[in-house]
Amino acid sequence: MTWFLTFIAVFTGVKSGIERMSKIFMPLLFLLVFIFIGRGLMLPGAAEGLNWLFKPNFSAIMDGKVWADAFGQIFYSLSIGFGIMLSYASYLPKKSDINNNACMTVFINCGFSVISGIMIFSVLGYMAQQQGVPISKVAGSGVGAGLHHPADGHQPDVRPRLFGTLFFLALCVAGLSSMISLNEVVVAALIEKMNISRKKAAILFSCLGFLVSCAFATGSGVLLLDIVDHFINNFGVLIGAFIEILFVTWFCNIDDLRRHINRTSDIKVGALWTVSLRFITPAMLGFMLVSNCIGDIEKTTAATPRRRRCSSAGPPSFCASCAP
Amino acid sequence: MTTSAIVMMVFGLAITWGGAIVCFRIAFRKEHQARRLRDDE
Repeated sequence: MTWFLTFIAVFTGVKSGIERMSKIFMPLLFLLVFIFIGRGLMLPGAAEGLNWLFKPNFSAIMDGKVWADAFGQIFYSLSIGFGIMLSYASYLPKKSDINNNACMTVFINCGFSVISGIMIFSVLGYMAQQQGVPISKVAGSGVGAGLHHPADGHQPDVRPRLFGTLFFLALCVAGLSSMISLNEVVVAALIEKMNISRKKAAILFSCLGFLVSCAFATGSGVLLLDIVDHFINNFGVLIGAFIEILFVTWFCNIDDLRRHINRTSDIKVGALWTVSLRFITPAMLGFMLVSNCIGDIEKTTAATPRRRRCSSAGPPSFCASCAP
Repeated sequence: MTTSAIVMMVFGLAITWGGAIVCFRIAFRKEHQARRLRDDE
């Protein structure tokens, strides 16, 4: 079903497919999130959850790891290094206000993250109060947090099925919009490289993607997904983004790029933009890459032989992801 | 909720959504100017 909907969006084109789906999905997602925020804030213990999320600890500003974690959070949240921005930007008119579009993307993304945090942590506060444990015990991460906590938190609700359904609908909508953007990247690349039509590229990639993704629907699919997701996100995307930023900032004329984007924008970028791209971003990406490598090596050497065999599925999946 | 948590929440929402609103205003103003130029032509 998911692959079919994504195929329809990509097959019908940018305007009548992707744009139309986004016009339906994004307002729907906002509406669902606001419904959950309204419900979550009325739960007992919600204030404790929000307190845990927003209570400041200014001494953490001096901790380098916090900055690295924040950089990693915004890197993955904005989906940088996936080629999505490049693909979508290539469809804009030449005189588009690039700086304003970039700022809008960043502010709306961060704003949505903040309101999603309010939604999640209000429910976590309620769950912590019900279980009589600290919030740190119920706060998870990754797939578990998304699947279990908000749905579990609505269990004693008068209409648990309604909120459970709405929550998973919100997850589906958010996932579909991300999947459409990722599919568009590959389809656009196939159109350019193989010189085929959009329709052929969409059919080719959707069929192939569906067949490969069937492996994740098997009994050990979640384990396989976890391993593939770990290697592609922690290494594949990071290495791609690292090479890309080095190439663009050190081998292309970045001052020409700056002049080009400032020409059509009211918001001007200056020397700080150049310094950030040339030095700060590669340094942070390099640091994340090295710390991920070291962390994985330490985990692998301490792991059981069975776990090591499972993890060996990682590098081939990472290499396969580099193929497009 | 403590006062500091409320302040941080409001600050976070103001920075993010306030920035988004400023960007929308710039985009709408440019669109309006471009439309006026097209009508004048």
